Amino acid sequence: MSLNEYREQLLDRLVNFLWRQWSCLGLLGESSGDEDWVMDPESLLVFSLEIARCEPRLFDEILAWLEVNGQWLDTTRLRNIITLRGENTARLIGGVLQHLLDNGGDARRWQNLINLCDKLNPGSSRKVEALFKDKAGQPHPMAPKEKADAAFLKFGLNRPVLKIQKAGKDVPVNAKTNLRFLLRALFGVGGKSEIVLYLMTHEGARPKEIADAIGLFWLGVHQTLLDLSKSGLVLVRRKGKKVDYWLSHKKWWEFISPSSDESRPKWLDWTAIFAAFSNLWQTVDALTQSDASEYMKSSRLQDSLELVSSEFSRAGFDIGNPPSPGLTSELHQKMSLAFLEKILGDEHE
Amino acid sequence: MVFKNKGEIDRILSALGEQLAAAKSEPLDLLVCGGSALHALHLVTRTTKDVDVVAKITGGSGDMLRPDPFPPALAEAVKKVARDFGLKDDWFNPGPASALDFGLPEGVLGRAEVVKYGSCLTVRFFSRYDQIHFKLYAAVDQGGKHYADLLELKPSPEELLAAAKWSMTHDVSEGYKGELKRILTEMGRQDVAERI
Repeated sequence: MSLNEYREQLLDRLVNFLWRQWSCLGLLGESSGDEDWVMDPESLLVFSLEIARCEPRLFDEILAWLEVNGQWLDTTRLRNIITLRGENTARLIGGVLQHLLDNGGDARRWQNLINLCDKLNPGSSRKVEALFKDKAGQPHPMAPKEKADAAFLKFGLNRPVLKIQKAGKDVPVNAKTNLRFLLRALFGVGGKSEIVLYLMTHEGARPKEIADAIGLFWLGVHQTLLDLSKSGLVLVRRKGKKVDYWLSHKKWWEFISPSSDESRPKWLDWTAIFAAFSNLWQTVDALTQSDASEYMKSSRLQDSLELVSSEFSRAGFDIGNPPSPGLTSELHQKMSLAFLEKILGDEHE
Repeated sequence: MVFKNKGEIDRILSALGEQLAAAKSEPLDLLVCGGSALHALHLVTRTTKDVDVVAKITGGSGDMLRPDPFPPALAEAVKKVARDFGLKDDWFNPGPASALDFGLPEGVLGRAEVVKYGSCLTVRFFSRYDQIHFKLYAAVDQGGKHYADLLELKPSPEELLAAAKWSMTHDVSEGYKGELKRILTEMGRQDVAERI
């Protein structure tokens, strides 16, 4: 297997995985219902748009979904993820949000984020490139200037004018994969619903721990926890100087979803996991164009696989170890795809 | 994994050089002794498990500094190569760095075999002459494989005499001198033992 073939197979698996995640959020009106984790729409959006540059259909379906469901996104979390990921992400998200704004989107919601994207990737440093690439990584032909989409062009990305053919579907609100949306509907988008979600999926935690996990500033999280604790439904446990916040899983789950323990979705740190997948994808993408030795290619691939493995282990998912290094590069690539299939749950032959 | 020959040492050190280049490390110039250096010069046939770094060479004038602790880029690269080739974590180590405190044989750098492993790693392998110095000192101190290596190097009486005189600057005790004479005699070099 050449590294180019490996890249294409990895892309297939990532794209299929992302289609499945978005289906749970109502894209195409489907919901596989197979996933047993809580979706994180902000992290999912950022990673999906990166990968969907090679899958235009997914890219445009996500845009249609955003037009209908954009109000459910937490702009503070999105801001933090964009800042963390840097200029290429800012460029891509900037184009998408500009498109939403130009098509009747809420300026109060999107304008500040667009400004942030502009700041992280200023116009003066942009050379226009095609937004989409084929599966082999070759850029699509550039649209003539008069036919190029102005929103994306503003961020140095060329694509034909986007016409959404079919309106997106409302996100299905449920207490499984979309528990986050249920809580946002209940408490509003922001810290409260993120904190309650974290406490419903953990035994309890300190404010800093919660803040790091949900991607919000710890002082704000601390204040929100103090407010929530006044309800008497979010509780405080003191051990010396250590203060843990927790809630009664029994009461809360009975209220939110009176179902058995087994069907409760798990928490995953999707920001870290998608960052690890992004690292893997970017590494493989760069290696296909690199003249590094076979050894270095295998070694760098191993670095990325270990990162993915450690993020899943940290989240409590036992996915085993990535393939041992020291194999021939072909065998290493073959075994790493098998390893990724365990994570991505792909059904490729 | 153990190194059985020069080819394997070159393969592993090339990998280390590539890791350093990928990490955009500053160029490193290191002086190496021990079993790996013996292999590099095809002087022994035994296996070895590590690469012993004696000194870091800096500047155009060839100043020698202690190599420990390794800079972070080198430490990280060593870890990755260990992972990729199934080597023990300290396969590349500054173990003999303390030898530098008492001084290395005069002219050691000029005699060393220089090998470049990419743009970021230069390794200077101890010459046979300098290995005789280190091996004699180690044979007196520890015996075993060092004594066997010393025999395999087939030192001449003059080489042994120079090595013995140098080693006595590292350990000035009468006890060491006595043990040195005993080892030289066991090697059939009573003539050398009588001259120190």
